[in-house]
Amino acid sequence: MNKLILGRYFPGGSLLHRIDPRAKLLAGISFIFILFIANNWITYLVLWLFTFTMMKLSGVSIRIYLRGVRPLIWLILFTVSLQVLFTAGGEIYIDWGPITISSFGLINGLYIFSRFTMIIFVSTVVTLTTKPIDLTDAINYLLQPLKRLKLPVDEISLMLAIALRFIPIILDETQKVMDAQRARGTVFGEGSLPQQIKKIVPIFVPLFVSSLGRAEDMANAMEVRGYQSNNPRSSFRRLQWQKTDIAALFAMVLLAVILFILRTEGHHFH
Amino acid sequence: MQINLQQVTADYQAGPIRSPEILKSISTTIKSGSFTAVVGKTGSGKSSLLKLMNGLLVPVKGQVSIGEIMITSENAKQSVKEARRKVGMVFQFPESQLFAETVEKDIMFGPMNFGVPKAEAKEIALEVIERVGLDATILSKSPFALSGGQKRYVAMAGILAMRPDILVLDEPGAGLDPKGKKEVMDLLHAWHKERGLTTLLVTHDMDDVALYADEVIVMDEGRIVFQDEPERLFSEMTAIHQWGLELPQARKLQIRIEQEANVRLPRICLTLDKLADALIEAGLA
Amino acid sequence: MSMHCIKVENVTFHYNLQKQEHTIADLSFTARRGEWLAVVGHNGSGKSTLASLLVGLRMPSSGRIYINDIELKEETKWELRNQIGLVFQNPENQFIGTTVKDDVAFALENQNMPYDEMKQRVDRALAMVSMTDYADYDPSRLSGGQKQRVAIAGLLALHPDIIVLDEAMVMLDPKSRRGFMSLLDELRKQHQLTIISITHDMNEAAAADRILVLKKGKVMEIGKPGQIFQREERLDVPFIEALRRKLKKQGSTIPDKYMTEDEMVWWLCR
Repeated sequence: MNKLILGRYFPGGSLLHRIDPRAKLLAGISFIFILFIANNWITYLVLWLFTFTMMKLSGVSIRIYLRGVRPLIWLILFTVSLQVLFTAGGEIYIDWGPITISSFGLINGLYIFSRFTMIIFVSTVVTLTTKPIDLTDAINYLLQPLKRLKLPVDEISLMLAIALRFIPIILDETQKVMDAQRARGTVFGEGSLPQQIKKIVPIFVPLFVSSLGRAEDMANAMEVRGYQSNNPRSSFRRLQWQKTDIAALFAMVLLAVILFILRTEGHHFH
Repeated sequence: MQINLQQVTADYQAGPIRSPEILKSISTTIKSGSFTAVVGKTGSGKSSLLKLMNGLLVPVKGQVSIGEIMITSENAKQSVKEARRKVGMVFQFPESQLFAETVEKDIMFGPMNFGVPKAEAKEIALEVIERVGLDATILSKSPFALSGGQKRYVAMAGILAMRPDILVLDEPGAGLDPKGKKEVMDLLHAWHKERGLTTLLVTHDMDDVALYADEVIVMDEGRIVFQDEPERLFSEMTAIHQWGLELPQARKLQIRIEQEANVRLPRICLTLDKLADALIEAGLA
Repeated sequence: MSMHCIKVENVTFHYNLQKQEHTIADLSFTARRGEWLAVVGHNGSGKSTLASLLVGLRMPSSGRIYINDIELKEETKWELRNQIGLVFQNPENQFIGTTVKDDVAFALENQNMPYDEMKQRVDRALAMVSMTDYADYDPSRLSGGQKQRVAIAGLLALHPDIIVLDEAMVMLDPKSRRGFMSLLDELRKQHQLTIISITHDMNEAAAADRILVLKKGKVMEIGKPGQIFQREERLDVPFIEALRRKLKKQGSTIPDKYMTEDEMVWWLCR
């Protein structure tokens, strides 16, 4: 669990840390769409340059980003090899019936690989430089229009925020319970699969019991402090647009325009 | 069973954050049969010191000896298992580790992990549940149906059932009312005496140190800065302040009386009984 | 406004209607404005139930509770919650905000208060408990004593008249406990706060104006610490009283009457 990088926040004071979470979230989402504009090597090169610049700007070492890709590497390689093996066209190097390795296949594989890794890198940039609670605020803001459809947007964000507050507490607690059971002679990560599954019970049951207790306490605390689910609430947390935020979104538009200019017209590798 | 630490340095890793040298080159000997209190500010390394005793924390450098067992960073995988057989650890709020359907099964969990046959583990469960002062009928109940105090005793019984030679206690009375706390401490202290155990107790309460410990270790910033009898610790007023410690209630009152009456009582009094005796002896009361 | 800011009249409560056992049975007492009332009693005496009744988390089966002369009922409880706050035993479970200042603001957000007023109140409340420097901290990273200070700030922001402490000092070490008590006492004097402290620490109870001894949901005794602790049959007494009894037993001429620490030191040094 400790190895997962995507979704973690690294405290820092970089330019990217200071950008409004809404701008970052919008930029991150638009990047995924912009990716689909690229269709030749020069456009992919521009995207890679952009991605690396963002990674550098975040002030987090490249090694951490690479660690973030690692858990997903097999999924990526699997998809890429399907692309390579089942795309025909261009110069053919190997031909075994339905399976061919062609120049188009190789190039397409490379593009797919680029897309995957760049999506991971850029979303990691967003989460590494944004506090989870700020992301929640951003999601809340961007979902506001859905209120008209009677979706309980504010309640959902409060739920998210509370969940985020409990994650570190529950991780701490997991550690404590595991230590306690280790001290009673449990050795984790040893034995056959059924044996290992059996060892989860002494961790899971205490965690479940204590989480229920916490949930009840928290519900009481919320009620005593005047929380009523359907009442209008003001918000103490404030998001403020600044010039840099507008600049950030403008940069994304610029990126899209550049890619449109550089892409190959009417020619697709799909 | 004697505990010996030789220049032990340890790190602590939680998530991506690594705290380097939470213990800095610690060397000490804890005598067999002693009841040693470990005190110090929050974050001074007390809990880490406890975790060394059964390999929940493995030294990066140096070695930990538990009797004949030696734990080093190289042999940890095997030696830690042996150490856990010898060391019983009562965590803070131990009731939060209960999980089994019945009290009996929960108590048998530890012994059976260490290879005690089922029939024998059952016998042990019966013996320890009575030893901690609960009725044998409780064995067939679910631990979650018990009161808070009973749960604590069941959790402690689960540790005592492992028949440890070394007992490691992390604030076993935390969260209980004074009467409940005294009962828990008296029980553990009696068990310690009866079985000739070597016991380590982490506490914030200096009255516990005064009442139960025959030796006290003070931790400060990952180092052992003091190790001697409690009477000696509580006579070093400036050092106590510097390490962020308190005085036992009796000792604090003694100092106030000595200052205001401008007398000196015949000896350092750490407990109520000793203070009462000294006051009468000195002709003040 | 009458001088009693809390009036409990013949309150009865039971969890289980089938059982005739009352958790709280025909309980009556009052508390004056600015008073510190300690409620003591063994586990199962109904102490915590009393706390939840006072803040309207539960409603009495019969009898009445008045807060500032307004009867506490389903219809009035939300309005009264601005006047009476509760601090829980486990500080960990009462935090909702991800940072200290967000948490202090929680109750204000529930009032739908405008931002500027919230900001002012949060800053002031944090200053009152000397936690201004920790405004941006994650509450779960604070020490036990600091957590309870933040919890108090969260109540103070609402400008309440009454604070109920439900064994709020159990998790604190002796030193933080003393610091927390003197902070509360100071706040009480400055702001005419009434404090109802449910506790089993007799040294803490000895510092209260009056003590209410609960037994099986009934008031066994209510009175000044001197009256309560002087009775020989009370076994759990403050340290000073225990010492006085011990000295008496050893044949000392010490007066046969409850003493405060000052009185005892004065007598010994006479």
